[in-house]
Amino acid sequence: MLSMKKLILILLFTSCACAPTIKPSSMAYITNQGDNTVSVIDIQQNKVIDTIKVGKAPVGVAISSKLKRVFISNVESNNISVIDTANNKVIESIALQGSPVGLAMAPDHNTLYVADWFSDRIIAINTADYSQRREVMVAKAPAGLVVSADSNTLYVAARDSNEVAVVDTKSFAVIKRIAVGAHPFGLSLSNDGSYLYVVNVYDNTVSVINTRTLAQSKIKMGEHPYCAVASADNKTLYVTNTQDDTVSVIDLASQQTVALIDVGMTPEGISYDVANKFVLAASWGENKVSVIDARTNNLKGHISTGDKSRAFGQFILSEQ
Amino acid sequence: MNKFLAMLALAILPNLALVPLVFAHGPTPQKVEKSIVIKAAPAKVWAMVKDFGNLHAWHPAIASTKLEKKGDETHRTLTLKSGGEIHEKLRSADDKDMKLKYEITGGVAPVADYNSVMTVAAGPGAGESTVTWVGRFYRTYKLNPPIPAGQDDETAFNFITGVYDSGLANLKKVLENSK
Repeated sequence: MLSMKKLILILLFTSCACAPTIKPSSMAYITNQGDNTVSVIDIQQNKVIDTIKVGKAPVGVAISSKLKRVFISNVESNNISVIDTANNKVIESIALQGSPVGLAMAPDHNTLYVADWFSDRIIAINTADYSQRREVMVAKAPAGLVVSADSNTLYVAARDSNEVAVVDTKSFAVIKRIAVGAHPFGLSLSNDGSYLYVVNVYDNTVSVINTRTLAQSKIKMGEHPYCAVASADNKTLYVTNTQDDTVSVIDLASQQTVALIDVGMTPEGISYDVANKFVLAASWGENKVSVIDARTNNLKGHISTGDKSRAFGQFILSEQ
Repeated sequence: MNKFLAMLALAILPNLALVPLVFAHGPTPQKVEKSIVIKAAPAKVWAMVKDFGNLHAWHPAIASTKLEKKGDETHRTLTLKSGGEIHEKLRSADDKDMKLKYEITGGVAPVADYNSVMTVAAGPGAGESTVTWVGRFYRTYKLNPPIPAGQDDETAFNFITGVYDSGLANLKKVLENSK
């Protein structure tokens, strides 16, 4: 017969062996256009842990890990919902005279940039005082936004002008305009800021732009590509093809497609989870998020979210 | 069916003066997804669904279909019983997955940037097929709100819902009545 001491030891050992290894947590904030909510996915747990009611037809997401805030653009209710990531509650709503779509957080966490789709302008909101704002007219139908690592440069995809407007964030003026393909929507920037990736929806291409020389090349994508994200090591680009229901995996050194992954119908927003090396793509057509293992480029599975998931922007909060 | 045709006419009328499809669109895509179970073998159902030049054979709102080849591309012009035309382009017809993809390129449909997928799947019962019709599109009005009546999300959504509901119901009727 086992002694009590031995039994306890065995139990302890078994429970330790079964306990999951502790990894830094990553949360994905997915906007659901159709039911006016945000699904919060715990990526390690592979499930939705919270569903948050926001404004009407939410689309864009921007996250500040430092401020513990998630910003959601509600294009049909003309406002931005501010979520506290400590409890996943909406703590404030920022009213705007306009229709916010694209959002981006400056890496210094001081400024939230908002693309106002109908008014062709960008609104910069001070994250310390939301009433402090600046505006700049850019070009027609501003959509995707991305900010350089030093927070000095904002890139704006102007969908109906077929260009990227480059905004100096200090003077808040357009300092350059880069002609790209037809209907640029999503943007991504390499971690070192040297390359900008622009998704040209109507051309079925991605423009790769050297941000210093402005030299540009184009890579062929699937049908109606929408959004892109570069891997943390800058070696790979992932692009959603909305009308092929796939994600293109591009080797950036050779600019070749190395994999084409079947995902949920009409994939839109896409983000890279640094902690787990996963890529998540929101499926607007099937109300779920497709999870890709970036180490193998295999589809890991799907997580059901809300109605018409979009998740436009960098939507993953990783514990630093 | 008459009720649908009247609704179709109502949906189209305010838009007749519009230039055919504009490129720009609103910020929020709309979706209609409908499906129906048909008591007929999948191969038979798929043969009818993929026949791009014969929509009038099963869709009650369509008077005639004109098929045209433009280089490698396949296009069709639909003439509606209520008057007006809709121009469409075939994207793909995949026999293996029984999946048809097409888009609207112009005409009187009060939608912008419309693309659609029709799929045929076996089941749920033996000898039955499920047809699913999904469309993604935008309203036609592309400027700042206020949005004029007839160019809003609701008009676009109701139009496509009417097209799918009446089309699928009649597709079922036509296939189940033919032996």
